[in-house]
Amino acid sequence: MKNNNLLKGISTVMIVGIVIAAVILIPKKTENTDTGNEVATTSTNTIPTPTNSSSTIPKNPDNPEPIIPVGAIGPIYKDGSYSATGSYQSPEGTESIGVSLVLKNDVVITSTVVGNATGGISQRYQGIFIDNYKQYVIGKEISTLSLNKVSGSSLTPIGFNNAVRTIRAKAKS
Amino acid sequence: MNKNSFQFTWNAIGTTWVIDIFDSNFIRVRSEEEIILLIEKIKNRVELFEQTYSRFRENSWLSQLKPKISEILESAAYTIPSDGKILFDLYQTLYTLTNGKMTPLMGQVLVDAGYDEKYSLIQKKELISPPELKNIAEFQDKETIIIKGIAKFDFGAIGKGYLIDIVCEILREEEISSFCVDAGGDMHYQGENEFKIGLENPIDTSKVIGIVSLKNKSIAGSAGNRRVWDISSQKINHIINPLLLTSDTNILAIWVIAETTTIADAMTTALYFTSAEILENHFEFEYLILKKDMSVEGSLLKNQALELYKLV
Repeated sequence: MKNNNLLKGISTVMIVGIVIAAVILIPKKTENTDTGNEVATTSTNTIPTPTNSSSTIPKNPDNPEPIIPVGAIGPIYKDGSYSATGSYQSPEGTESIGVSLVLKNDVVITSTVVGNATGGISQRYQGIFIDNYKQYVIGKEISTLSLNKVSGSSLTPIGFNNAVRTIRAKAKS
Repeated sequence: MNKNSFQFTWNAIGTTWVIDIFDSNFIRVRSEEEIILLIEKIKNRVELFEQTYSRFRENSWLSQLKPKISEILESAAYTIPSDGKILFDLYQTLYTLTNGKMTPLMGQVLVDAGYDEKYSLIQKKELISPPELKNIAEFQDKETIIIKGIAKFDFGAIGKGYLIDIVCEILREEEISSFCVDAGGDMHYQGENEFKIGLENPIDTSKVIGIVSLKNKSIAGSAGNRRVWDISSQKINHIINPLLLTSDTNILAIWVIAETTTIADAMTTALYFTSAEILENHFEFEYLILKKDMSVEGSLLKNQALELYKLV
């Protein structure tokens, strides 16, 4: 089991590294990347430079390029759908994994990862990554919170609830 | 809420309505008769809407939309009531955007699946996909609908949201400035404060998966797990894909925040059938989708007003 965990750890790090690299590489379409195909549905995106000289943008005296704070002039990455495939070397050979993202105001709104692994172990570890990278939520007791309202379906149609009760009663008899 | 708020509640359109009025002078400037009249005005307006558009009422205007049936089928023209034009318009747009998956012609499928006026929840017969909208109805200058074929109309996906907006208008006309109109968990809040709304965990309704604060906006939610029943060998809920004749069991709940409850309500159904990107080209809204595995996605995630309880 110890070896398995180590391999799992390494593979996860590798896969995460590939995904991060793919995300960073996506918007810079002018760079030549050997690692895969890029399909972006919006036009070329470069980091915008400010057209007015604002005193709030700090300038590095050693570097003529101004440092642009995130959010000062809008999203860094153009809204839209992006996808890329990243390849990596595994003990079983070259493997690849595909990532698609929808970006809005620099936030990932949806993401999909498709594993293209051919080797058995790589398939397993890609699977582990795909299953686990999402944001998961849990519930918190309403009685512990200070809410004005709850939005949900607990107030299901009254007749519906009564019907379900009747059906359940019939099913028991 | 605070001590000065006024609340009244009643049942209509198959759910419980709760109206909260937060104006501190609401009671002071009105006589008891005036308050009673206002409550009656609202209840009557809701009842009128139900009489006109309820699929569950045989004599509603909507239920009576039929072609002339004699030896052959002949088209029949009907004047659309003034409050129906927006609904037909919206359904036509969403029908196109979802490639026919969100259709106003779901009535027969729902009845056959058991979601009838008696809530028998027993499948009556094999489900048949509804006909294409263009084969059933033609619209003339937004005033008239021409019915060419037989199909049951159902406004369930948008009707409640629209009715909530109508009630909000009545309150505004009364010069009430701060209120919440809530019909079964879909609601609009107007006022000065941040209104905290818990997002109910569909799996355990004693819990919420997060809280969203809103002000002068509507929120609508749709969950697939409450109105669930069995037909054939599958679980079905009240949101049925008319082409596949199945329900999506991967989505646990969808919440939408928008300026109006009409749009919020419409989007909670539309998002089952098409992508948010397509809808965002036509409507302004924020959404959150909760999947069966308890993962979340959606544009509401970038809103600071949302606080989610996350598994770390």
